[in-house]
Amino acid sequence: MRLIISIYGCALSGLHSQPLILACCLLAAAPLLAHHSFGAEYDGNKPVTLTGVVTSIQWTNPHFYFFIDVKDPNGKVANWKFEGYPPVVLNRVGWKRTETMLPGDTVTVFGWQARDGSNWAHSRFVTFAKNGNKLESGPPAGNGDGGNRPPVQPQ
Amino acid sequence: MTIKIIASVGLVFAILVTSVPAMAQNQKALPPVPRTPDGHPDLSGVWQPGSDKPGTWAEANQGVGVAEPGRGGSVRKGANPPYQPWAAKLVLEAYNRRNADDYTARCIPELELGGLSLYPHQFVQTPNLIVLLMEVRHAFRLIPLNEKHPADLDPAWLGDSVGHWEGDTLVVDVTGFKERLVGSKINTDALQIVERFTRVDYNTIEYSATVDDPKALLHPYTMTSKYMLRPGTRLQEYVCENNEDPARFEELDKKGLITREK
Repeated sequence: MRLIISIYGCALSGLHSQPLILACCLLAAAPLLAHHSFGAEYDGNKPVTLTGVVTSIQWTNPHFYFFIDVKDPNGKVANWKFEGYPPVVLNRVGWKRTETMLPGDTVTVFGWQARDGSNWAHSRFVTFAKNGNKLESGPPAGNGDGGNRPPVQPQ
Repeated sequence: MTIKIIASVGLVFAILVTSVPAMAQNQKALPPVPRTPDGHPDLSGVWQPGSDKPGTWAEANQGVGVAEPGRGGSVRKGANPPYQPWAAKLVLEAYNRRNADDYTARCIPELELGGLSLYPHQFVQTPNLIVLLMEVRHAFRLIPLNEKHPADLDPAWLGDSVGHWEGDTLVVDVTGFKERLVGSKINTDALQIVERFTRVDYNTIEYSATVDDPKALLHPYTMTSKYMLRPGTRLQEYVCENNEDPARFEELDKKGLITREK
């Protein structure tokens, strides 16, 4: 929503003032960074497996997100955010928007945690308690992380 | 125990009896490569790059373990680009920044050269023009046949393509690229790519790309891949519309969490 408003604002205000054009275009451009490499956001050395109850799903491009409430052994609940494939890819690996994952479903998610250690992770597989299905939800770690070996050596 | 053994033998027998004729039947039943009225192989259809498994998308990508994005599994083969020192340095810098500034992060399209097997391509073939629709980043390529590149090319992310038939192989010459000097792949405006598409059987296009960039590479290199026909698959819209919390990304960057220890 914010992006649409920014672009719209750009078109409107651009007619009147140069500084406004710049400000608006910066606003409009910044959100594109949301399509990041895996390594920029997540740590391939921090695998996580969590079980919780789905609270919401965002079928957005370029990546989808879902949120689950995870209870720790003391009963304290934390809401985790998971990122994954775009909807077009999910469709082809067996996800159905109206059936597969719904709020209230209990799921177990495997993925990798964000670099800053917050309740945010990249999801790789989701297992659904309601039917035992295990589906791929995001790509493997690697993109932008590149392992420990640089792609090139300085020559 | 005896029952188990009998059951196992029976199962093996059943698999042998049913699978051998099925395999023979599949090979026998494969239709010939279709041809257009002008006699050329018809590449029309929806294809999955970087795969060598026949069947529908679901059959070829069953369950967990679909090919990794950008890598094309083991189907895409090719040497790492032989970069000149200055270009190798830039690629290394990007690696140490975890490719955070890669053009991909801005959803700018690129020629995937037979990779990125998560997303289908559709070929639309006419006698004088081949259109290549790519689901990823909602991009398309126009490949006019038997024409020259325009003299006044504007540099473009996907370059300018022209094609011609060499026997049953579609040869596509691509030039007129914009420079990419940040990220995991470096190229200058001297980049030139020659692609070859050969539909070797009903299900398969063999692909190769010879990449030359005299300003950034020490010498040209070639990579190969395959496209597999995916009956029933439709391309869908995939554009970068999401604006999910860019401030967070910048926050990570400021905390130094993105830069790799050297």
